[in-house]
Amino acid sequence: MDTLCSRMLLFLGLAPFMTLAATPPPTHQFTLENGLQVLVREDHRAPLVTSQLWFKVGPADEAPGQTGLSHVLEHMLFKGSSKTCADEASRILESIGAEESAFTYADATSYQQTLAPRYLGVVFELMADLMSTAHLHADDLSTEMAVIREERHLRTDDNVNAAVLEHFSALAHFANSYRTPVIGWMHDLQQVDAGELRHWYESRYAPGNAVLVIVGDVTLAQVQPLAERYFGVLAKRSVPRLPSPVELKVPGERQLTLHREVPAAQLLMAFNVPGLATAKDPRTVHALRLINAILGGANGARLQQKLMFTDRVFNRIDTVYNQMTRGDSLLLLTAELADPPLTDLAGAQARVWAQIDALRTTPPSQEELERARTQLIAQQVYASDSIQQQARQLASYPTIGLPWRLLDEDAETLAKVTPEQIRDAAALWLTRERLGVAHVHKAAANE
Amino acid sequence: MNSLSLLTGFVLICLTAAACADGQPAQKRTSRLQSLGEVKALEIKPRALKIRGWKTRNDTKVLFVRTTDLPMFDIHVSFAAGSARDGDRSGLAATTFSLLNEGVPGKDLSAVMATFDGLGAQWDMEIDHDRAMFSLRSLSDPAKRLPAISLLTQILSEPLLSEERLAPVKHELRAALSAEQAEAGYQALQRVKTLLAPDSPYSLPVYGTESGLSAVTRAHVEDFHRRYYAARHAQITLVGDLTVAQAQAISLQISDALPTPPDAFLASATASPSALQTGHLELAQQQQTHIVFAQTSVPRRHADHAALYAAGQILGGGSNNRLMNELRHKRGRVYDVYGANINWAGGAGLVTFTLQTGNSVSAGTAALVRDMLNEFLRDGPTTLELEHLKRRLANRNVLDSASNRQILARLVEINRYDLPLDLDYTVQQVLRLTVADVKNAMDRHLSADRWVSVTAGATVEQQPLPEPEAAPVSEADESMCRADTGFVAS
Repeated sequence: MDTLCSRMLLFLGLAPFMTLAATPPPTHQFTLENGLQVLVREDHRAPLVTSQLWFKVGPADEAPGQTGLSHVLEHMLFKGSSKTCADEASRILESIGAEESAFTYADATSYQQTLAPRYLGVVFELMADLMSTAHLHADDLSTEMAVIREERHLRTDDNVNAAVLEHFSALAHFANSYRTPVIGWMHDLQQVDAGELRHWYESRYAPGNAVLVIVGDVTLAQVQPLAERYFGVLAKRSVPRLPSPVELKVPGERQLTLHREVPAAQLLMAFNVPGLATAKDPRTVHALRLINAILGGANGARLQQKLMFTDRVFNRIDTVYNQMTRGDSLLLLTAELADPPLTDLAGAQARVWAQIDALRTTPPSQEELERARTQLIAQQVYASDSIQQQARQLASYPTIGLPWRLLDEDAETLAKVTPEQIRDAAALWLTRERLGVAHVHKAAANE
Repeated sequence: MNSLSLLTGFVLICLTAAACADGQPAQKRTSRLQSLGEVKALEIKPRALKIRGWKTRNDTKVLFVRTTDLPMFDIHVSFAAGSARDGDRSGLAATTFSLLNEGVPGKDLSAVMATFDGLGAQWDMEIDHDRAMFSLRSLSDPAKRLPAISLLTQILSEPLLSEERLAPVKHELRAALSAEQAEAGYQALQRVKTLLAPDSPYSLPVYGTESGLSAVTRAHVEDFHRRYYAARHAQITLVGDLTVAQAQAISLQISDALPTPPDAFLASATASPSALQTGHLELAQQQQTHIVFAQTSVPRRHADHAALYAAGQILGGGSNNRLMNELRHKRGRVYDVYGANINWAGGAGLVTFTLQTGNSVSAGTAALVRDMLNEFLRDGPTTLELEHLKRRLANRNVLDSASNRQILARLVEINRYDLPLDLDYTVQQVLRLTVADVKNAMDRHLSADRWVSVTAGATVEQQPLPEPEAAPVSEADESMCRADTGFVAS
């Protein structure tokens, strides 16, 4: 490859994003008297708007024995309220053409509707009602728990990759509550209590514990009166303390061995690293994002090039790092060995370590760093194509207690990371004493 | 309308004021939501998108929509080069497809991937029985766009198809095959296809078979590429920040580079069903049993397609369809029901309904689903059901043209099935349907005795299906709450 040529291209690559960043779309922020934070971003490309109501509650907040409660609540919200019968909210949203979903994340729960702007008032009235007057009847709960247990079977118990990841996450997160599966452990789903569910709802769905994000073909002048009218009437309530799920300073090296019906043996590795909300220096986080892109976050990354395309140790290998967490995070690697295997799991792990050690000792070339940076910046441009994704990105900041303006400063921040900072961050965070490993061996079907 | 010489068509989100007014939600009359009564038939400023279409001098069909708000574009190129054209060597199409990006003159696989990464471009490829599809999302800045398009063109037209990469690619395909075969849902659908087309490539995995893959040589791959990656059977779809001249130049650059063999194109395979109509796969480790009901249907361009699409939606589309209402909302037996119309042999469609439930109630659930499907075939939809569907579709059609990705998806469909140049075509057809139209179309094309059904799960002692906890609500009361001692509706 012609280094000089590609470096020039890469510098040019910053131009489109910098242009966007210089004139970010009009974004407005206000807070209702009851504490509900509202963000409005104007995007007038199409006659469409997305409305996302985010609550700062998720499985990371759940007590042992009550796991899955946040997700159960997300289901039960649609089972009747002062203005809706059971499942009527969903029917109304469907009939007004809303693309609607509800999501439970590790530390947040979100209700998202995308539809024509003239129906925004309907969505606000509906969501304001559901967040304040949901019935949560015990008889509906028993039917819905059966649905949720089927959901768990479908997503996790009968899906070997998901089951392995759930098992490993409980080890990778050693002393913090992200170890709790989002859907909850099955033994807890057998004994969900209606009273505890009501308490969870009453304590967590306070307006002051929520963020409303609107992106689309609307103006502040349209959204603010609607928000005041429907959400403004909700009573101010006390806001729960939100503990930050932080990891031990030295979590120690851990290993899990599993035998599962996987098509080929799997290697999982996770390093305990900070997230944007817990990092002492945010530059650490941006370096980790670039480390992820250089190491295994793209098809042209080091692990894929060396160990998948060239040496063929793995059928697939990927790394992922999510910095938008209220607490500490993971740099997570998942990989499947080639079949027949070139080496055993220990050998494969040693090959991965060699790549990590290289990052820990030698700064990447400027060219390689620019390639990673260009990807992250291009991803930001592509994210603007979807108003839903824009809203999710905006919401992810206030949900973990950070200002949304960081989103618009992202390209500038990334541009400042140097090759030496990449090496230093790798040396500091990608250590054995921060590492959890799972070796998943192939088990025969009849074992 | 479908003639490409016509070239352009205007697409409006909401074609007429009447269609907008039709969008009023059903619950308006009875709901306690104040806001529903206040929805004004505000004029929605339609997003006026112009679909441009042309053919290149080598007969490649191209569709383009220009959007300039973001400095990016998407390109999708597809070929009639799916696994149905494998011939005697099952896996030949997939091997050729997988080898395309494994090396071009001057770049090996790693260099190809690193080049796209360095340009910030996102590359994706997909193959099914009918087509091989390649897509690229890139920044429109010429410093990014031009090298990205050049590499895409090389991948499609000058792949090395090297002997050296043949073995690794076959390994990957075998791995993909075993990953698929580890999935109960995949196995169940595969069994359905086997029952429907026992002697056709449509019942074989897209990635091929072990023996087929072993037989594929580099010469076969080169011949397949020359024959099926031909310009005249390619389709190019573009959306984004390009001028018409730039889009045309891109389409010419790609089309001119593609092989132009004499047209010795073989028609795609057809299929005839076996006598067997049910099957079971014993998967002892499964917590759930997958249940699939399927029946062949009409091609995408058939006059009855819209009516059968509506029927499928009412039964198994959205989250409040007949099957979901009964099996999830009332009985809590399933998490989801998935209704689809997938591509099938000879250009036909295959209607499928898929769900998963606990092993111990699988027999009762499958029997209930069969009864519900046949009741629907016998009686057709209710007026309320069809009205709800029309409102939903009329209101949600703004979603189809909101983002480049959504526009691209609709445009690729229009290109693939040779539909009129109108993003809103299917919705407009559904809005004109009557209950009788849907019923008559079902009478013409579907039949209670043609369902093929397969279960995949663990055989355990069967429990009778418990009656719904909540008393079923009659249709007339659909928008009212059921009797509820804890709460009195106002």
